[in-house]
Amino acid sequence: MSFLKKLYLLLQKDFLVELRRSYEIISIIAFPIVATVIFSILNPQASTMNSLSFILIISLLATLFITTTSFIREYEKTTIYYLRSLPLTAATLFTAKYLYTFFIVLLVTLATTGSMVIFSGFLEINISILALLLLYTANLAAISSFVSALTMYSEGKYVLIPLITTVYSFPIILLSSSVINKLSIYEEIYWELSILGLHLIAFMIFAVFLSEIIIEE
Amino acid sequence: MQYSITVRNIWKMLGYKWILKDVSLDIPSSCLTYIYGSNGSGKSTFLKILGGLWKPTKGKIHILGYPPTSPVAKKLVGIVVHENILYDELTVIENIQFHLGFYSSYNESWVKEILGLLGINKVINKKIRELSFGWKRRINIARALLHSPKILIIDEPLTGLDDAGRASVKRIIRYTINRGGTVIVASPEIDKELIEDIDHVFYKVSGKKIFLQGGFL
Repeated sequence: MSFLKKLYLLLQKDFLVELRRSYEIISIIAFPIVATVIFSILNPQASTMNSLSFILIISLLATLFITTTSFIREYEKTTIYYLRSLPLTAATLFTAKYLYTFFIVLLVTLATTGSMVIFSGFLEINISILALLLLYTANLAAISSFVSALTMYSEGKYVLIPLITTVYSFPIILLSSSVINKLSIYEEIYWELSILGLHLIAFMIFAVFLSEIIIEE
Repeated sequence: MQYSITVRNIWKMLGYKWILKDVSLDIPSSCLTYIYGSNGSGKSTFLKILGGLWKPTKGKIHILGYPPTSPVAKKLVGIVVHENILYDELTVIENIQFHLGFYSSYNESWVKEILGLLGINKVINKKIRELSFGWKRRINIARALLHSPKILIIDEPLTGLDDAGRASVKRIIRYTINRGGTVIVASPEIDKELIEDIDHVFYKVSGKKIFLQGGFL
């Protein structure tokens, strides 16, 4: 059976489970919307750059929560044994969880961006901003899936998740803040976006390679 | 005598505690291997290692020549652990379809036979979370058998089942052995009814080791 067919089956299952737990998805989406409304009230004159920074922070905070719905939920509900009894490699399983996390984090980023446009009206969307949001989301999803796999067997996972996620996300946050600064003075951001893309590729190679070890108990 | 599984010098540590120490044994083909011992003796850990759900800390296992965590070995093995590993949010049929999706060459008439033998057709459209412990147990057993594994591993096969469920599981075990399959069960006590008229060997788990106690082949 092909790698893609296995990915499709795993993703289909994850989205069906998520759909049946719709209260979780609603709370994940409600959080950025409520946060954006509060931000808009507190900062009625916020610039595009401030609004953009806010979106990045909200996506990072939502990612901390989403981390607990990936491998950690499979472990807590003992369904990880279901997955591990199937003829799949750890790399396939990790890739499927990455794609699932990416879609959910992207949903949060889009909800925050949309709310910002509606409630604040100061966010000017262009290709550079979209590219930044997409690469930032993809990197966060990779870090989230890795941290979820890494901490699922740990009793102190709820302390470790914010700690490890923040440490791993630090280079992404630094690069993204550099992009925001350059956007504010209308400078080229090609170099920073390329590094974000390369970081994603390098981190995924690192995580998929290690998944064989970290998904084992 | 032919052996389906060979175990050599297995050690397993969970947390900071050794659960199994230097276990070596051979599991013969086409017979029932009965592993018994008191609660907490390491039976379930041993079965999870055989089924490829956990890796041993040290030592080697071969399932018909393959390491238990390899996708090839997982196609040859069906495992039922003590926990319910099904997705509570999905229906019985959705869980079954998800499982079968990973096996390109499953036998449809065999699937129908297994569902019929365990009486699962009655609850096929119900969500797992709506079912009793006994039904969940039956569906977990069915799931492990759907892809026609050569080796069936069941932890405490009769726990939580009513008379009809117990009879079905006994029938399934006999049926699997009569088809040339190998069955490994673990239980705190020996159920004499289960071993009647079946070739079997006994292993006792004690002091973090597993000893051959005899049997009838």
